[in-house]
Amino acid sequence: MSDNENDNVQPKNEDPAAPINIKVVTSQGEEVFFKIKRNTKLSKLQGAYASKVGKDVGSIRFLYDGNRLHEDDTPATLDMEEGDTIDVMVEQVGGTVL
Amino acid sequence: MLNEEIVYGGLCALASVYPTHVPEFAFFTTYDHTTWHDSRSVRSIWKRVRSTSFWARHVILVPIHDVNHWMLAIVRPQEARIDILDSLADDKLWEEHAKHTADMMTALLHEAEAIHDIQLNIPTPWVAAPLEVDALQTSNYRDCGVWVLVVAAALLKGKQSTGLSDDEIPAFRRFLYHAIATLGSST
Repeated sequence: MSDNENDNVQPKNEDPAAPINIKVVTSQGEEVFFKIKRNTKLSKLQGAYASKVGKDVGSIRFLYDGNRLHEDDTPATLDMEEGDTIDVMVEQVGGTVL
Repeated sequence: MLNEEIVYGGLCALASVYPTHVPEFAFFTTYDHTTWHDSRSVRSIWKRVRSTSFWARHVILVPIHDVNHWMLAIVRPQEARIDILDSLADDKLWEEHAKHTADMMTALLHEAEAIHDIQLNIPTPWVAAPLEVDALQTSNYRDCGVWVLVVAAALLKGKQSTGLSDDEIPAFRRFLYHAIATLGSST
């Protein structure tokens, strides 16, 4: 350990296999908690959440810090921290088909 | 029938096509008004809108999703004004959403003050009105999402509203399709 802050350039958690707790929150404020490894793709969490709520994963939008999650995102690539929140919204459709 | 990806993607595409006045605008996502309606969670919305610097913009466009219907709130904080586009021209719907929008904007402006340690002129009360669109003499449900984007395009061109008619909607749809298709892959 160094006393000099400038020497300490190591990320907070280097272990890619370390688990992290993530909260998935709906627009109504309902919360579901997941524990996944930092190098696990969040698409796995999305699938698990969709199954849990009984919806097609394609009709659910997952947002982290305002941005849509991408296929290959992991907690590590997004630099997520313990207890971070993923917002979940359902697809919104308006108008009608003739 | 449009989903939220097309509505928000359309706003981004129009901003790219008509960049002149874009610095005066902030664009909220379609999820922000819904989140306020569902939970009044300022913190959730703040995460999504803070990057727009909405507190410093003249016009804030807030898409509104009401069950199966798209509307648009045009918020001008410096004029304490909210105009609501509702292609259904419903007597009551605009008023309910104007109130939700005013409450949300007030809460978000207070949040901006607190977080950035700034003083803003936060309207009390807001003045709200339905947006007059000459072409919308009859209610139009089918094209509600397209009308949101038609009006956004007019505003981005520096106009107060649109002069487009119902007959010109198919051509606007083609223009919009091309604009979104050439938008690129940025988020």
